[in-house]
Amino acid sequence: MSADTAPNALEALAHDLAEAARERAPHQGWTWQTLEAAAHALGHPPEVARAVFPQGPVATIDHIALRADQTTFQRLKNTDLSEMKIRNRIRTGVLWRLEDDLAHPEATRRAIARLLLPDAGTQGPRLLWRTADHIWRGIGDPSLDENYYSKRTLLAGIWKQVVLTAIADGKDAAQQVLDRRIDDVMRFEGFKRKLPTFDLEGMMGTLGAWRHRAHT
Amino acid sequence: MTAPDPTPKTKRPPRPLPPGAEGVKRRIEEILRVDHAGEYGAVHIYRGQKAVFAKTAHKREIAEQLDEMKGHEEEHLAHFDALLKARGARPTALAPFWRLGGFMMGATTALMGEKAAHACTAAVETVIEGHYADQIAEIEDTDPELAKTLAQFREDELHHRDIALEGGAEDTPGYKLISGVIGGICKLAIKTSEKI
Repeated sequence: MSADTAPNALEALAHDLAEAARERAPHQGWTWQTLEAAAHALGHPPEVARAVFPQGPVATIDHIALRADQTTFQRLKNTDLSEMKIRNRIRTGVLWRLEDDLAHPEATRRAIARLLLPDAGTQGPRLLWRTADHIWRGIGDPSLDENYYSKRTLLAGIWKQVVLTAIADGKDAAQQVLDRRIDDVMRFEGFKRKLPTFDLEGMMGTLGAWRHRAHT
Repeated sequence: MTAPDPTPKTKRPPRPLPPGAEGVKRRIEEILRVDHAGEYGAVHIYRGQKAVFAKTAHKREIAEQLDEMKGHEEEHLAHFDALLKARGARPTALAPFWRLGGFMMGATTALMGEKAAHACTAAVETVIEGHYADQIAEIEDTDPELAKTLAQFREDELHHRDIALEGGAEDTPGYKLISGVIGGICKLAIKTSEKI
């Protein structure tokens, strides 16, 4: 569901439940018991937790991450970024996205630990990818070729390192990591621009002129 | 000249859409992805053909014709660019292959000759036209607006096919082989780009 549609009752319930679970996560971790306790605190029977999040805690973490992604996306969309260089747009997007995680550092730490358990499968990398995707789309990146994938891959890697640093060493350390990593990416982009280009079109023109030369 | 065919005909019965809103959304995203990839490839086929004729004075006529058709494909591509972004669908991950492969296919056939270049166009546009017809039949009830766009694009592709046939596509030596190989490549590319 896109962020601009009015959340219906189920959406609202999912949100409340996820937030109540997040409050408990620092002490209880991300478990079925946490979810059921969250439902109980909201005055619902435990079955409600299972009905809203049939896949359990991992789906709850997914829900929270998606909402933060969508909020960041909307904020970027609603901001005039035209004066900003790409690197600053990215930086802004990453720092905005980080706010949600830093508001609940312990719950985030335990969420990351939960995503490392085998039953979470590829959910962790998928969340990183989705965050990178929302930031690139939020700043209006136009690429739809291989750069679409390389940009998301790079940013997902940066985001992973930033969020891990943020929960371990705090926001300032995370910002330093962010700036350094963006510098690396920009250097790589500069290097790519300096690569020799091969004029395939010109070569084909010459070949064609020879092949289709007028016979006298 | 064959008159453009206004009513899409498809040999196969329309493929049923997957169940559920989420299933339909995914299938439409697949359609956008493969069509975007197709138009992207088409632009580069014409680019390759045009490059071969560009420096040869007595080939100006065909070079201009190819350039015009490339322009149509670029319009289609821009349209799919916008649709992919609006719906948040991901593009094909194989863009570099379609870019280089399309270019080389166009350049190779153009090096063989004007008629071979037309044979390439006819083969590609025939597959694309049929593919659009299948998609239109598949989604016209669910997403009539998109179906209408696809129908317009299909018209353009039919027109390109007719230009190519008029240009003597069928007279090139080995026409059957060329069109069979190129048609096969296009179909394989379609299958791949829906998913990847």
